[in-house]
Amino acid sequence: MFERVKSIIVENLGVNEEEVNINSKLAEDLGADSLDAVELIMAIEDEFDISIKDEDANNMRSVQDILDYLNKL
Amino acid sequence: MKKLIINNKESRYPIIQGGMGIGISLSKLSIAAIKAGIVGTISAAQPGFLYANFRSDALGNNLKALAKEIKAVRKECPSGILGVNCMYAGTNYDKYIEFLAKQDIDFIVSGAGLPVDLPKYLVGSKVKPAVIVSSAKAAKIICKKWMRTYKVLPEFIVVEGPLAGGHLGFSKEDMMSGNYKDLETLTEEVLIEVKKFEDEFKTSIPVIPAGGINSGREIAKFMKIGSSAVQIATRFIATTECDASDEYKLMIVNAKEEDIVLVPSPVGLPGRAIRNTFTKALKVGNFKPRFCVDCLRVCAKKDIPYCITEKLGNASGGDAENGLVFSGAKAYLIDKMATVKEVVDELVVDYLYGLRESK
Repeated sequence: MFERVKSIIVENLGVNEEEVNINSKLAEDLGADSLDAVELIMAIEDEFDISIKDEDANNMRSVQDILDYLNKL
Repeated sequence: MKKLIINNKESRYPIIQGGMGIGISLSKLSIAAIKAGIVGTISAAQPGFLYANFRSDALGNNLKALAKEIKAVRKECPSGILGVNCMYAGTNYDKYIEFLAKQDIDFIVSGAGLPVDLPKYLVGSKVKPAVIVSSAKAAKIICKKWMRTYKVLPEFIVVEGPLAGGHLGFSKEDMMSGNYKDLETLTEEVLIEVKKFEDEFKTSIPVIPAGGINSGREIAKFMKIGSSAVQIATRFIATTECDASDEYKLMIVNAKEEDIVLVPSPVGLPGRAIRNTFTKALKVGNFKPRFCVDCLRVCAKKDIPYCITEKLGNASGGDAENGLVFSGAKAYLIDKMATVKEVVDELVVDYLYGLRESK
């Protein structure tokens, strides 16, 4: 799961693989602005064939948050 | 001449009068704009600022003011194209949109952030959602997100470039270092992104550049590259019908090129305004806010240079030296007061000449 999320992040945020770890914060550590965040969530929806509510998306601030959400599905 | 269609209505000329807050574009300006053959926009930024108990109930007074302004336009112009500009960064955005969804308007246009959920509030309403962006990336994300979640595409997309007035969608660092694209480039990039959605969903999404457009020749230039219309705002401040105070209008008329400056704002982004006693004093220190109506979600509220609602409202209300006079970069080209119809007619004639020259 982490590897799939990681590769989406690398592709969408244009960061290196080594920069992405479980504790990375999307904005502070990976430089995602609000546009990147929306784009990233849509890419995750595509990859996992799911639909993420805006309220849930707004709470995803780190890689861990994304994994927690996906694990609960 | 190319026609602009919004909400199945046709505008005579391809020009939108842009929304300007606080209290700059309300019903008087919109009525004159629609009667002159263009699209009118009311600003939802604190339209109740001058109402008696605004400070204790901003939301209530603003909604009351919006209803009153919209009704005033509809009395004069029952079938013209009228919209409301409502900033996404505003507090109670959902309440404003839910309210506006039930009003007799044609569109709501939102910028100042990415209005990802605007269509949610317009389900079952005849009011159409539109968006203001400052990049092709934002245009693409909005189209994709709205289509995916709400099965709707923007009624139109305004591309706001670096020469606009008020808050800019570019950082202070980028503005200072010149690290930004001009409006023509931005518009071309947005057109490319939007075309993909137009082709896929067999529809058309008007792309409408804005920011610093001041002549008909400029309109011709933007129409030639594929725009469906342009949005013009500052040019309409120096008109008899504009809702701002005469003092505010005169600041625009008298401004020289060097009087148009970038100022810091409580939300961190640079804003373009006219140099006055207030902007000069800002260089020395901060202005302690006199009240707070919690206008913007993104305002830090503490240690801010000034309160944006207080300073914009004061300028619009008449204290143009000690308030904030937002203005586009080309305001110095305006040197006289005119009626809205005179401005529109001049723009259209110049636009037609511009089209002819390019043939």
